[in-house]
Amino acid sequence: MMLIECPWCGPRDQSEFRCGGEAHIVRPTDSEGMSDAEWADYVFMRKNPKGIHHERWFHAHGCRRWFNMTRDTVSDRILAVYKVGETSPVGDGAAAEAGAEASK
Amino acid sequence: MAEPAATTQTPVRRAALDALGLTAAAPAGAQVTLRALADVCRLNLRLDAGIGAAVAALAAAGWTLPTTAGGVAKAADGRRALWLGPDEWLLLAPLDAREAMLSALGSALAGHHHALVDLTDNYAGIEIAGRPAADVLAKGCPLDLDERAFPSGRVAQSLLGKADMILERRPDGADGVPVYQVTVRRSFARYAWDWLADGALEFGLAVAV
Amino acid sequence: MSGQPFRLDGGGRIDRSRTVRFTFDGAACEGHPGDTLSSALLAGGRHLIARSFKYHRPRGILAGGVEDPNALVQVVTRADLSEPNKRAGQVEIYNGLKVRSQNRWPSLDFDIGAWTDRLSALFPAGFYYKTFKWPAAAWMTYERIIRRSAGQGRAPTGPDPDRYEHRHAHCDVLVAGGGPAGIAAALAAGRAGARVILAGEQGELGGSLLDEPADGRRIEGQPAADWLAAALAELAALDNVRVLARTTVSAYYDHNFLVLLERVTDHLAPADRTAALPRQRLWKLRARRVVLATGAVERPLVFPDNDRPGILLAGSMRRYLNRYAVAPGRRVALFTSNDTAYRTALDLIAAGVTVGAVVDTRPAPDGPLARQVRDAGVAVMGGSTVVRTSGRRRIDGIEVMRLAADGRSVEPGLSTQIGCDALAVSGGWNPLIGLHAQARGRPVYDPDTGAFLPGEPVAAERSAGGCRGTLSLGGALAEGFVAGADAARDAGCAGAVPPKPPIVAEEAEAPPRVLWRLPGRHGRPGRAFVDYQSDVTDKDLKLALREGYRSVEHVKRYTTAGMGVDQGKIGNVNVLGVVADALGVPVPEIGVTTFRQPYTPVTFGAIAGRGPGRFLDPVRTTPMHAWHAANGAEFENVGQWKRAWFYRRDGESMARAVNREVAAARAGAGILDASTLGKIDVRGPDAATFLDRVYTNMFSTLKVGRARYGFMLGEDGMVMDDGVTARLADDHFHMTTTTGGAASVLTWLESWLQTEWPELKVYLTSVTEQWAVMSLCGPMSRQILAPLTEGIDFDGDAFPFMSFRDGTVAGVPARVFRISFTGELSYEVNVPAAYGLAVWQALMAAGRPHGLTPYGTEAMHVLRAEKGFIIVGQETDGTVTPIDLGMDWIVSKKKDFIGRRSLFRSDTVRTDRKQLVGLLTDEPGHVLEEGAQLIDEATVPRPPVAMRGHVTSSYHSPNLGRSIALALVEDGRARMGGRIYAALADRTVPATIVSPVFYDPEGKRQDG
Repeated sequence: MMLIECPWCGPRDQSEFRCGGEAHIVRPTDSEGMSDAEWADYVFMRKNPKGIHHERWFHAHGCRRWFNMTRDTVSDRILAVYKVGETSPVGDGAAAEAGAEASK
Repeated sequence: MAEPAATTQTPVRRAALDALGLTAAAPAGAQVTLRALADVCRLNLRLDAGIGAAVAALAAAGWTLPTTAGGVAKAADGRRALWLGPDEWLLLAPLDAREAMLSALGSALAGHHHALVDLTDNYAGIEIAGRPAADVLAKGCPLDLDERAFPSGRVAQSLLGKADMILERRPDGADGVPVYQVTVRRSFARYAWDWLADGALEFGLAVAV
Repeated sequence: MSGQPFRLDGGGRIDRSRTVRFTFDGAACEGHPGDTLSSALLAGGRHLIARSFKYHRPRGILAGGVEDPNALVQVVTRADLSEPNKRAGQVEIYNGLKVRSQNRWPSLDFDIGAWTDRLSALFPAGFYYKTFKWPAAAWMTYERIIRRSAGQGRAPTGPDPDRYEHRHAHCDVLVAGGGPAGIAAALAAGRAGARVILAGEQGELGGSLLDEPADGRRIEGQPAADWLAAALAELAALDNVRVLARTTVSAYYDHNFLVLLERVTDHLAPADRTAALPRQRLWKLRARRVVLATGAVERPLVFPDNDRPGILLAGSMRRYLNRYAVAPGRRVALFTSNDTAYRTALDLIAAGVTVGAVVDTRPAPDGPLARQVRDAGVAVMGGSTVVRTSGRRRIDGIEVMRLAADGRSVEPGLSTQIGCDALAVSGGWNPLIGLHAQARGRPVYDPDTGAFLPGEPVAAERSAGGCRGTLSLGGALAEGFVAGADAARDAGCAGAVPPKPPIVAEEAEAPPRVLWRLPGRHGRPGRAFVDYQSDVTDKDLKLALREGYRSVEHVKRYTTAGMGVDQGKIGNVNVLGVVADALGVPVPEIGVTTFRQPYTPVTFGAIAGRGPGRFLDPVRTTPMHAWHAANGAEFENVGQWKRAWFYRRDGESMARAVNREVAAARAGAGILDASTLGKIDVRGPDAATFLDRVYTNMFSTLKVGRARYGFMLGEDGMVMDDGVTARLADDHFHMTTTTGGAASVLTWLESWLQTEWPELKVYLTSVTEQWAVMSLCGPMSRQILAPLTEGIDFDGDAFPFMSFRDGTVAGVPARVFRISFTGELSYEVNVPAAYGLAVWQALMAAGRPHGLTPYGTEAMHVLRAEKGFIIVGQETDGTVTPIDLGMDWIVSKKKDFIGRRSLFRSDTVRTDRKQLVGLLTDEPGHVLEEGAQLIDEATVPRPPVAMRGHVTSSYHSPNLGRSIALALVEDGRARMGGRIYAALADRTVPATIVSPVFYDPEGKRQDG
């Protein structure tokens, strides 16, 4: 049971939140010109990595705001919580490092 | 299908917990008191607190919006503004102030993107007071209710069992006991009441109406 | 004292002034307050208290607490209510306690099942796997027989009447363990001002301090008991410290979330338990820092016949002697590889018990403790081992021989026979590192003590005392103080004060010797149990190795070692040692078994808490609920809502009631409580733009005062929700959703607004419960509503279909929508929820002369099905597009919207997709089962059978005087008039494919 730092409400129990899956998937604006495969990639395909994952969370039973979180799926360590529209302060280099540490 | 004749002249207003037909009870040794609260005017406000002109207009109308998480700002006549989120507040006032408030705040916010929505009937309020009140709430609320983390004048949205709850720590009672106000959506009123009453059993339960 | 022949005259922490009476297998037993079941039974001279799992061997009390693999009992409350596998050392006795032994028939002393022991050579590890796997089909038969003789104890058969509670808690420092290290840690953290929870497993806190005799080790010059009392008093006086007795830290999860099980009333006689108090309480705790002070449990030596009743761990024997004032026997021998047994020997001597000898595997035991024992005139046999024990139901003697230098065999020569009625054994200590390992810590092996110690912590925890391998009292206290102070500091408590550990006067202990399987006589290895509870011997482990298993996880599963109730707390390290020894590799090379939650078993009741029963799920009711209940309504669960299903009048059947309601709604007037529909206030300059993006159809063109039915799709193009949305102002809409979709649609819309289109100026507010909604329908609805209403012109042109007006109804401000889900003239009256009941009553009164009939959700379903109106979640299942439903008209071609591109994927443009159709059965009286599969053949052919679709809705239609059904059928629209068959279990039902609109296809009735 994670302790999640809501960017607005502060640390709260995981039971107050809902995970919204992978973050930073941008909805295509030119879907008309996309192939079925390209469109399916947007709609259906997700990363599901072992290690660092940027994902969307929703404070469902609190302030009802969506936000982003970078989490190590191996250790459940939360590496960053950041607002919608921001990029994760945990870059891929740092991500690889944290992943290696977590799997030690 | 027997039913009382209703008259159009006098519609009867019923708070959600009226249906329970509660009667007052104060058994000896009861440490927790539950009270079904009468409805008050509840207006939900969505607004970007960065719009200085709107905030100023609200202040002129007697309303200061708390901007820190979990803050409660008090205004005249027991009115208060509860922080619900970064751009959301619940404004509480006496029930009979509703029309005037809607109109005054509507004017104050005219021209600014906002949503002022009357949620007076959307909710039901329950007061729980007593030394072990936090112990009762903790049976189904994951918040840290310690004095240091959640003193009087704080509000939070969280869970009470399986119901969403707005929890406000009110000023302590006359005898220094903690007092909390639990606000749930109207249809959850009975669940919340029964849940609290059952949770308070081990401490002795009094009911105030 | 006749009932307690082994009770000492003095000492101990029991209350001799009162006697507690209980029964064991029906026999009257007694003890004193402060006794556990173990200590009381031992005081009565009973050692044989259980039979082992596999061989039904007589077993006694081996240890002092929850780690005991042998002393499992069934605590009986009622004939149908009992709890199996309670460890006797964990059960506090009370008057009227009833305990049954387990795994025996017909009695503990004479157990028929013990035949397996005589034939044990035939039942090695893996016996069942090998013997019963062939022929495969026969396993079903074998299994039933084997299951009957398997299992430990008996599950209760009646419902659990007890109350269980959950509660959340938060603290700066959790201290797990109520022994010296834990108490020291709690003191240090508490003095620093930290919010501390100290959880101790037993009824009395103190751990090993309680085992010290009055003249034992002294702390700061005082007896241990006095220091303990003062420490507990100080903790009790600290407001920031909460001490939980009878509380086990069961589980350690990520982010320092821990689960504690508090046994609130288990120790009380049933008469003393109150209904308001829970039997057990499950704590869900978030701790900033954790101090693990869980101590260590002693392990036995692995030697021939090491499982007889009367063989106790040396430290446990000392506990029974000092804490409970129970002599384990009249003449005791001790067998050890370390100094623990010498403290026991000294205390036995002091208590007047004859000590036969101390057998020590170490060649020259010469520490201070050994010298004291020798000085007391007791024979200390260094470099020796016990090669055999005797006595069937209780040990009556041991045979001792000299060990060879490497400890793997015995020296030639004669053996020494020593008579005894109890044997104390110590093979060293296993630090309890389970919680550390649960918190992702990796144990580290210490070859000098043959123990696994906590490794580098991963979570915010630290270990102190016995669980860190520190066995001296002074060491445990010192570590506890440091750990508590450090934890408080790390948790941010500014008041941390440097700890000053107390000075303890105690003898230094000499180093232990680590030997795993001890030899028997030459050529006679004998049977040595490694895991008592699962009856696993060293021979079984070696067999597993011969079978090719190498990983300890596999060896464990093959032999079942460590898989019992005790989870190998005592046996696992010996398993590892014996396996490593047999393979000739160092212990760390074969790995450690996984420590899983929970530490000790947790009752299902505690896990469920108050969950079962009325708090399982909220029951949500509408403002008019009381009226429905008082007027014969039976309710249907729609999610958490209770909706009126139908109103039973004068004892009529449900079918009659529904027919009556359906007919009334079309012939006169009906009224439905529709308050549960989701409602969302949509406001802002970009509201129309937003709605255009989330609905398939256009909302920006909707005029103020008008309403439109809309579809929302998932991005996959499938129908997700539907509802009517009205435009209240240019920048203001009132959206409705399905009852079930209310919460999820709002969350979904917020996600688009907040994460994808933050530039849109739109605010969403749920107003679901602000409004009570009553849907009035039928040709008489206008006549009923109009006289009650002020401010609304009901003239057809003034108040057209798909529009709304504000006014008052029965004096209450109301918003009235002219929309219809039945195809009839229909008005949906919305009033503030607090007036819902009053307005409903006013409508009922006004409608009585016109035969206004309340109808429930069942009639509503029939009415809408007659019109071919879909219900999301009934006609759709996440694989259905608007085109599949024949609702192309609702899909705008002029704009993008969520899911649009998916409607042009190769799969969604197939023409043979399942499409919504109506079905009319040949037999008009036959109502198809919803969900029935549809096939092309009149008789079901051999599989595989092509499934052409399925029935989604099916009712008797009173207005058509026959059954109707809606179905999804492949290429259905091209098959109008065609035949299809519903496949039932025993036959098929023929039907004709028709339009889904059965009633009033021209739509004339909605205008009244």
